[in-house]
Amino acid sequence: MKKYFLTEKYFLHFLRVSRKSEKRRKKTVRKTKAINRRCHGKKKEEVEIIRGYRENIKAPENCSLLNNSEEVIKFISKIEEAFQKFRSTFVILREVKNFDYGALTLLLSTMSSFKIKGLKFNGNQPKEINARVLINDSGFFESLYKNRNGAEYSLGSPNQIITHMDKNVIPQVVLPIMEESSKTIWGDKKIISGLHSALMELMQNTNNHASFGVLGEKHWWLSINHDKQNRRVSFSFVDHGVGIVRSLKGKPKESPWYNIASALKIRNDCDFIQKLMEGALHKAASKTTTKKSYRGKGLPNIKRMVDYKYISNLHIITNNVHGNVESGEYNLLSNEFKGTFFYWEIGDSNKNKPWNIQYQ
Amino acid sequence: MEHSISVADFSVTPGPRLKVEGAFSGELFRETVLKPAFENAIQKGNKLTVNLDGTLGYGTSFLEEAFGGLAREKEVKSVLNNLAIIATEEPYLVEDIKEYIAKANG
Repeated sequence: MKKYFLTEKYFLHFLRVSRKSEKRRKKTVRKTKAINRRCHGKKKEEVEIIRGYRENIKAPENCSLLNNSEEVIKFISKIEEAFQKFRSTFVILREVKNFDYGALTLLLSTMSSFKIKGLKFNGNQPKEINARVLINDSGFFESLYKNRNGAEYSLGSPNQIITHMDKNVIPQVVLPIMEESSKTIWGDKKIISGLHSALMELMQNTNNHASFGVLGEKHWWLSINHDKQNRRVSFSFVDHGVGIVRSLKGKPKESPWYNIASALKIRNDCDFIQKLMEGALHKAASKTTTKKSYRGKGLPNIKRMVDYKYISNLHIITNNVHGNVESGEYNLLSNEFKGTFFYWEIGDSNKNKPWNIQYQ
Repeated sequence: MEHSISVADFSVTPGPRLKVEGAFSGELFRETVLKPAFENAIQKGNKLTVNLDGTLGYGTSFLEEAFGGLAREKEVKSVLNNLAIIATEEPYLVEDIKEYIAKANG
């Protein structure tokens, strides 16, 4: 009887197995060579980083979301891409010379998704002393590694960034935020009703629109920085949803939004976001649609809070648009941010009212 | 006898539109406070006065769901005629609410 390993069937099987094995070996050699090339001439600590993580992503020197949004969004997009591919990631902050709280919040919310999924990540600190002090004083690392509770709020050291994360609308969180913010700005508790309105609109927006057709799926992030020296409080609100442009462009073809966009002669995505913030889209919608046309007032209401001087320096970054709402300058970005980011400030030139809250 | 309610007695931090979206929603306020008070006032032939002062502020969704929602349940005309709004801290809210009621059905 002919032995099995001498048969043609076995020969073909053996050929297949050995080809696969050779392919795997070559792939490993290629990867090792690539890592060795990247390690060539590097210091020992850098070599450890390269060998320990599949992705090494370098932050731009000017890591300011307001002044260098293009580069910061590109940097964040690379991290998000690594996360999507489930790759361990090392974030290189060593060369960062300038950080702002917007970029820090965006980085924090992006890196937290690694933590939530249990994906390995790490990073180094900036060489530049000011950037390093800012990141350390902000409580960035504590925020990244602590266990969160969305309803918790506590004020730490001056200039600390305080972060909340949740999926639902949490109105209760506004009370301590308003108390502490007004104390930083005016030295006493004051009512800033525009702050409550803005936060409600943004939390509601994330809950309703951050995912296609699913309510309350995406988290929102709120970070607050108390600059006690300059009596100014800045707010960064982020969600990693689909973004406003994509949310509306993703509507079904029969949606009246397409007729509205056409009637308003919207030129591009910048024009679209500007008309949305300024309420032109909502006005047109209430004239032309009948189904739930009473909705969609949230973003124009935030713009109204700027007009009423409750909040200042409002910026929006969503998908490929960066808008300075106060000055009316809207620019197209070449790198897309998958989500929505809002930034605003409140200082002593903003409006407030006496504190008349009766605690329940 | 005058019929009046204050939103601040419901919450100093009014919340989202719907109950499923978070605490102190417009839907909850309408169901538990506004609608019973409105029906009671109508039954006794009075107007209902709603005081918006004494809270931290409002999102548009809360107000629309509370007042626009009431107009969708009752008649727009009846709500417009039998509801008075006090908003000394944020006077623009009175016009907003009138618009929500008038356009409650799209």
